[in-house]
Amino acid sequence: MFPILSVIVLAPLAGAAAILLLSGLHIIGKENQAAPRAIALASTVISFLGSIWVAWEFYQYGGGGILFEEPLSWAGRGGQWLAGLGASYHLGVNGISASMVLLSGILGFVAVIASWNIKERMREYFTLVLVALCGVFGVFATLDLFFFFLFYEMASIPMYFLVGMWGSSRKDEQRTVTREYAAMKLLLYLQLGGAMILVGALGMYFGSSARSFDMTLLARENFPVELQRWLFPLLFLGFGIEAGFWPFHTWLPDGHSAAPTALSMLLAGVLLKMGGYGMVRVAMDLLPDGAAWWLGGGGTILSKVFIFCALINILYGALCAMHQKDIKYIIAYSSISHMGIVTLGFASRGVTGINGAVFQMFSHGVITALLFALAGLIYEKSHTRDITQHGGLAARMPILAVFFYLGGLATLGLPGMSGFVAEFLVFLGAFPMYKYVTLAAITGLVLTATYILRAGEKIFLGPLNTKYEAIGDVMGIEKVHLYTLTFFVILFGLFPTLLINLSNPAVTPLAQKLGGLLP
Amino acid sequence: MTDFLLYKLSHVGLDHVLLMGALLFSIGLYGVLTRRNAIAVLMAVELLFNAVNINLVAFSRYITPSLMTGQIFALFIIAVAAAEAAVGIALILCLYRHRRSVYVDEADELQW
Amino acid sequence: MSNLTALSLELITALAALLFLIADAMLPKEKRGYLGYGCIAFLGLLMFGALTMGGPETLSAFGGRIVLDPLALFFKQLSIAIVFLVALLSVDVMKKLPDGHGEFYPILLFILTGMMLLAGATEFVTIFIAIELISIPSYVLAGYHKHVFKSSEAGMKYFILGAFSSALLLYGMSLVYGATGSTQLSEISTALQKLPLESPVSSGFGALLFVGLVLMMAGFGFKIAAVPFHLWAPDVYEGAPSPVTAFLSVGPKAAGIAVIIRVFLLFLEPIQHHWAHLFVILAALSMVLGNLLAIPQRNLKRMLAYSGIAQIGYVLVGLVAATNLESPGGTAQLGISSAMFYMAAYVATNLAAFSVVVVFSCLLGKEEISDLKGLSRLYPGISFCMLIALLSLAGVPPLAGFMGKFYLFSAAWSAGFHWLVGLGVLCSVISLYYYFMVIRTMYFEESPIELKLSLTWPQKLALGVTTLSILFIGIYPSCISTVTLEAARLFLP
Repeated sequence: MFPILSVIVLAPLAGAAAILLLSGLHIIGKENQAAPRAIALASTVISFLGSIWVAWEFYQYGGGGILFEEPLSWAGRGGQWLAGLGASYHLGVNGISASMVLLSGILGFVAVIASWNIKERMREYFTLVLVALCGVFGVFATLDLFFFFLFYEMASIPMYFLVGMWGSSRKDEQRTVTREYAAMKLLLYLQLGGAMILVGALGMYFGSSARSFDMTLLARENFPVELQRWLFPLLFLGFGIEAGFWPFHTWLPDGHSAAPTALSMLLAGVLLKMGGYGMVRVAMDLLPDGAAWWLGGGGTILSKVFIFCALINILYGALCAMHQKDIKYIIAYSSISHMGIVTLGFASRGVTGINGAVFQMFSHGVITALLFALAGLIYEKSHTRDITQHGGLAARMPILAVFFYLGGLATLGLPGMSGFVAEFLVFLGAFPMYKYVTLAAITGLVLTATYILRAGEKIFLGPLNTKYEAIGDVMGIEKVHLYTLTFFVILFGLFPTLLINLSNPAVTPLAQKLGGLLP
Repeated sequence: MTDFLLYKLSHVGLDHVLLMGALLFSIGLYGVLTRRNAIAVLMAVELLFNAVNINLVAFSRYITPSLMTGQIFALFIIAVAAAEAAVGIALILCLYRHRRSVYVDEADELQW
Repeated sequence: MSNLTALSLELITALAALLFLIADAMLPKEKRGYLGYGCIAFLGLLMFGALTMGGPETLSAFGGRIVLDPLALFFKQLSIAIVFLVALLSVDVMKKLPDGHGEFYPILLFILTGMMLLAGATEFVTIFIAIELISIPSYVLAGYHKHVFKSSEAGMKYFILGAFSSALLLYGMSLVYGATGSTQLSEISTALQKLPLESPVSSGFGALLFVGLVLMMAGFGFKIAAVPFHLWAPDVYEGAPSPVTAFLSVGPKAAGIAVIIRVFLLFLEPIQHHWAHLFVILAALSMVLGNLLAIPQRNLKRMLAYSGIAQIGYVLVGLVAATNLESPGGTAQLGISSAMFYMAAYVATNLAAFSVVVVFSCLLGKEEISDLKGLSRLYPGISFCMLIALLSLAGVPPLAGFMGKFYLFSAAWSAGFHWLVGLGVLCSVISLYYYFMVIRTMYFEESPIELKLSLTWPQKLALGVTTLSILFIGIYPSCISTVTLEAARLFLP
């Protein structure tokens, strides 16, 4: 069989290697902008097309199993890669991972387009972006926990450099955040999460009878309930840190806002999703008894903690977003709020809720990327991210304004857009389990409407700020990623079954294991 | 009184010698930790080594009288300690050339 | 009849050291610069010879006082690699000294002899001689820049604390000798299995032995710079000439770990309930304090000193994992193997970092972290090596340091030290901060001055070899781990 997953995962890495090699041989000079860009574009397009193919094949297959499995012979099962260590290069996707691979494919492609105008240190920039993308694809495609961790690090370490080197600092009356500070904070938080994941993985490895990191083997393992009960929060929180889990969310607004546009898109679009994906695919799938106990089934106050945090995520994120003036901070806090909805969906343990959460991960990835892309474009043109400094820009940049409102309305859950389906499913799934929490969370939607409309109004409506008489609209290549992202937002809004049919067969057995509600 | 002392001396046991070694070691330890003069520190280190020698010889005499292990060990220590002292004095001289002083607390460039 | 094959490497090295000493005296002054290249060539050949040695059998000489088994061979090869790289780094530095640089290489070779001897020593006198053969020349090397006050001060401090720790070690040895009646480790081991009933000093036996063990551990702890015996390390590292610091940051540690493995984990294993807890404390303290104290450092060498303290804490985790404190039996091989693997990874990584420091400090006379500003723009190659080294020290995959940590922590986990693994992982998260501060300085900031660095081929070779080994060990860890596992077969019950 054609190793499509390897191609998807390794294409960005090959691109990165090509850029490094060519610049090492002085074929690509320091000033050469086109070549690194072209290589990056080519490799992400390969991954993008590959991911569409994977998702489509999966859609047609429609089962709960794992497709495209690739245990390579040189590594071997339980192989000799590190002598005496049960780690192997083992790829394969189930429904949840297939949708995440598709998401990464889309975002990888648009991130390169959004980086089109990077001028400084092109070669390093694209190398790092491609390495990070390889990590992201790897996380979603691998079936081996050890490689999962490896790819996780590959995705998160380059972020430090990208934020620190190409990022921007913020200095206004609300806060001063240098890009170096933001990069370090992001690094430390992500690595703290990574450390917890590593410990959790070791715990599972040594708790298993197979002594393997293979997730297919670990899923069959019946871990003792006590072990599950203390490994689960470790893993769930480790992934949660990456998904902006309150109270470990503070890296997120700073990191996302300091990052260059394309990176904000990647961070919010896929890096947060790695956290969410890990929560469901690793923590909940491999440790179902622990998950059931910690997510509401334990009957003690401890088993309410995660749900409580999810609610705080939703409300606190929305309230903070309302208070911000910096447009990137608004979007970042809205991410915190929306990732809370994902956690709530997982915590419902039911088929509908988890499906909704997976859908929300996808939808939020696309929508936030769109919003960050727009924020980047606005900043590029007006040179400020403070929404109060703008005003009436719709007159000068109508296309951008339209896209902004499309994205904004999708965020606040307008029917017909992907955001609506996702949130609706989550609340539908969560309501029977936690009535009051769900009701409280729904009020978060009202807050979302408030901050999105407020931002739109400050930037685009009202009288035109005289500073921006000469400002121009988006044009040329800048439109490509806007169209691409909007296309997917509306596509999955109108045809949600495309995505739900992917995840549903994988979610149903999971919900059964978790003892949640079945449809 | 004299008789008593003579009696005691003729009945010196292992524990007495060990105690002596420990005492010497403690004096050396005290010297290393408190002396400012590098030469004095060096002498204190020598005391430490000699305490070890006493221990070794005593153990050899009382525990393995048929073997000479402890004595030989002590000989090695004496030789190595001499080499060590030579290097130490060279270093002290080096320091002295810079500062005209052998007080260790005056060597204070390396601090954070 | 002694089997001198077991000692062949040591004998050849000692002989070569003497030859270099004579050559230094015979050669005219302007030609002494070639001694360095000669030394490099010799070490290369020796490495080649050491790599071809091997085989699972154990050779022994002098009535079992010196052995050559896979464990010893591994550490001998590691020692040769260390000294080879240090020699590469030293050549150009020593050429610049006004006088007496020719003595440097014999001293280095004597140290190598000591390190190799120590790896195979199984008797207290031999161990002591080997340790002193490492230590005494090291004091000289630390104070080698005799016209620089800092260097003299470093030599002095190293001497006092080193001699002090030797005395502690000896006192401990004498007590253990007293308690067991022998200085041979194998006889001590058998004596311990019979004790305490037939103890010659049955009344005070336990106390004697225990105090002896603690003192020995303190002595070894000084050599490997584990907390709380680490106080000399930052000062000596900062003051000593950079190539010497490079050596001190790995050499004594590798040798110390070798002897600790042999003495404590192989021969004193029957009474491990007496000492294993102390190693747990040493490991935890070294990891925590090493990492925390590295954070405020401004001097690169000083920072790397604290980082080295922390790293030795990780190695000790591997040794702890080889004890059966928490889980009875079965993990000794894995623990030892992981500690050896980590040591090898640490050597490659730390020497890569120090290669950059040497290049930087000896050519420009600067070694503050802030002096690295903007290095990445001017010298992408050098800063890439530093980047790889720092990432590996921080334990970022897929580099050698990560594989080492992963191996260590999985060994410790399977030995039942879950909390220690948690602590170690947390500490490595903390360590990211100071490693990345250096990376930040190199990559995010602009250089205030135009630097002029030109590398010579030994420096390039050192940088290249270490950086490539970090990558290679990281991507293909089996190349080391099969060797270490094989060497650790000694520890199978």
